[in-house]
Amino acid sequence: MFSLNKKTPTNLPLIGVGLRHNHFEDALNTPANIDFIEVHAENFFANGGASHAVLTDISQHYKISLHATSLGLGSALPAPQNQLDQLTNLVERYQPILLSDHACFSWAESENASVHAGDLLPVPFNDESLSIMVRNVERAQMQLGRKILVENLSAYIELPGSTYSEAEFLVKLCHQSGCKLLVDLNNLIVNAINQPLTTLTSEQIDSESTIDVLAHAKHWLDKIPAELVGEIHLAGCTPVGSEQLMIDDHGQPVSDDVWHLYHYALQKFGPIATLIEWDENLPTWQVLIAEADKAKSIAINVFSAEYEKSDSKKTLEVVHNDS
Amino acid sequence: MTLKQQQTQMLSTIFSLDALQKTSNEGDSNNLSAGMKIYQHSLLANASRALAITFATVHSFVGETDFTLLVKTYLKKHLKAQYDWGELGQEFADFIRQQSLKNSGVLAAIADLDFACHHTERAEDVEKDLTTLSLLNDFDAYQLTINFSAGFKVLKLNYPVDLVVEDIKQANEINSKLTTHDIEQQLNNTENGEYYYLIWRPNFQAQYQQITQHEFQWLTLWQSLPSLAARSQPSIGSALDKVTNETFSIIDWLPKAIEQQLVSSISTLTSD
Repeated sequence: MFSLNKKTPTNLPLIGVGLRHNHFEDALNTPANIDFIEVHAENFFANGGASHAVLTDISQHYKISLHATSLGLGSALPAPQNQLDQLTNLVERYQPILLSDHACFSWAESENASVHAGDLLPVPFNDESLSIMVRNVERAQMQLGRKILVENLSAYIELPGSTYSEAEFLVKLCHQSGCKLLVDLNNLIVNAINQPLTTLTSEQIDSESTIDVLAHAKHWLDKIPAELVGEIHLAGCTPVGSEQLMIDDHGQPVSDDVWHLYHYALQKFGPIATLIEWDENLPTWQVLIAEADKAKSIAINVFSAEYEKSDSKKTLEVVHNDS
Repeated sequence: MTLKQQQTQMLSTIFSLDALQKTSNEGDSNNLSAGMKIYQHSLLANASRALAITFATVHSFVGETDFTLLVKTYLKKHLKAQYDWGELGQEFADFIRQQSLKNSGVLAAIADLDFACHHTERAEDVEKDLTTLSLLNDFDAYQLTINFSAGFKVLKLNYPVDLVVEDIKQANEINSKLTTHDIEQQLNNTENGEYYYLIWRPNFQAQYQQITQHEFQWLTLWQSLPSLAARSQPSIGSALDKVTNETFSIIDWLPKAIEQQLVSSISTLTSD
């Protein structure tokens, strides 16, 4: 048990880290200068047991954000009601400050049965997908009694049939369903790196093998109105195979490209709650927290004028109180 | 093709887990197949990881490579209906039982035990209140019921899996590996027949132990109504009336059950 007073000033974004099983003990016993903890909702779908006991303890120290990975909001086959019920129970129990899932499909019918992919699979960006995703998001929001955030995907296949860009599609989704976006900057970088491999022919790849990844990602961000962004995710990625496809495995430190893009995103969107995700090759708790510190220092840099004003105001308040 | 059809087709391709063939929808680029392979690899890796947690003893016995092969065949035969990885594997023990593996019967029995323990650890928490034991002095047995610890269940298996599991654990501790021959040796020393197990969770970790047939019959009376409201549970008196074996004694059983935290509390049955 510990007391925690070093929270982020109100004019800076809330900074959090994703919590995985290996760090449960550290999160409980080692004070960290972070504002919230984000957990995968499905890891707490059990009715009881140790995971709930730990999360209940952790929620005494940090605000909780719930990140769902299984609703498959773009699925033509809707998620079963008991799945939504379980998520609702979790939301009621932990009262998360943020609640999110992905712009993907996970449910489909196969051999006359509902099958769950266990993955975040891409959808084409067209009116049919949009209509289905709006319906599913509205259903989830109605059941959960609150707005949710929908995250952009890292996708390794571009399905045929898109009539919108991803950014256009997501903006339409927000306007029609009332949800907001969780913008994963690493996913933008991963998709930009992989784009030649997922959309171009071999000949085109040879001739267009250099793509300006950062410019591509910034162009994506430029299409998103600031008021639609509710959270930012930062993570690392790993190249695999002879094709050097970049995998969004959250198994590395946040890349330089993503840090650069984060600076740009904060300038564009303002102080948006930010999460460091690290799921594979987990580092020590200290290394994870150091990534959060780096995010905070970038935010201070972006909002330095306001930060200094707020800091000096607090100093004056302390002096006044002491006198 | 509708979106629904497109999604079904993509999911079926991923779950085929075979070397990919180019299809008309994938265009003329090999790189689209590279993307699909990533989804297949991810499915197999995630399923193997999830099932290795749920079936930890099976995993430690067969090893990573063979376990992944088992999982791959399992996924192709039993499409994944669960959205929670923690719930995957309901048919895994029966699937193992049907495989032409040496000692698949005992391996399947271990899987049954693994799955029961896993579910017990995920069960709804039960509040302990041993002060309620005093009710036993104040009320008739037909007015009282027993509340068991979280996720308690009993299991009937054809093998003495506790002995095999103990051997596997000991072999793991000295970085050795138990062979199927070792298991056969172990089983040769035991009688054929039925073995009864109690699985329960005093705190957060599931425990199991072999129990007698009489204890099994007694506990089955309580396991059959695990999720019903207190008033739907049997009374201690009515449960005892159903015990046909005269050698079972609640006087002997109860102190032991309290000591091992199998009993969480005693409560009165409401009458309305």
